[in-house]
Amino acid sequence: MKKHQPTIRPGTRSTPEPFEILYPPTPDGHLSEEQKKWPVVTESKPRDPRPEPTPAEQPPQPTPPAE
Amino acid sequence: MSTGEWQETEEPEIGARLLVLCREVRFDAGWGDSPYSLNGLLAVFKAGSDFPVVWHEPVYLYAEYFGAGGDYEVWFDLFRFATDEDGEILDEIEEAGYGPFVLTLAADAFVNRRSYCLGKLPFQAAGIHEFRLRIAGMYEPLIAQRFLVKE
Repeated sequence: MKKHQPTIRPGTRSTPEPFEILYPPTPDGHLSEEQKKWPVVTESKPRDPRPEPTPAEQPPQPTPPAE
Repeated sequence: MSTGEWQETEEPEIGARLLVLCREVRFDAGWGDSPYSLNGLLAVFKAGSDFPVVWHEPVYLYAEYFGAGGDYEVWFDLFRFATDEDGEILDEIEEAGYGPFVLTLAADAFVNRRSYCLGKLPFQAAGIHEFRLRIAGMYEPLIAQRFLVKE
């Protein structure tokens, strides 16, 4: 594995980089025929561990003056 | 005329300094020169107890390349390490290869950033796995990243 770090020649400009998500050309092509028979597993998104927000304590409401 | 001396084959001048596995890659041009955001960094896959299985959720790989401009073919090879009871690595098994992905490297950029979405990862057994980023025609991977598959 290459250990060196990126460099750039002085005086050059960076070009705008395109953004795209790249997918394998053949979605199943990387699986062997045996692997294609294996059961599929998915993982549901972990639940938010944060506790439910508790309602903030309400300041006491001023009582309307009695008529 | 041949001198009879061994000559080293010239390898493409390309390198990679980063390879990250995560659940999501976002791009926001509003962030200027740092438009990429990685969510849900992945180090451990909880795949259940009934191996073998095929992991069917999207896994994003984010890579940063540098080097000489040009077109390259990128492959991601998935390896599993077989270990003994003490965790010593006994063997490495290539489980799958993803690609080719065409990479056009811009010579005048500090780094070239790319995002890949892989699905259907075959897990024969629990244990340490590794993605190796390889350029077609090169034997050594540019960079590798390990992760743990557990029950």
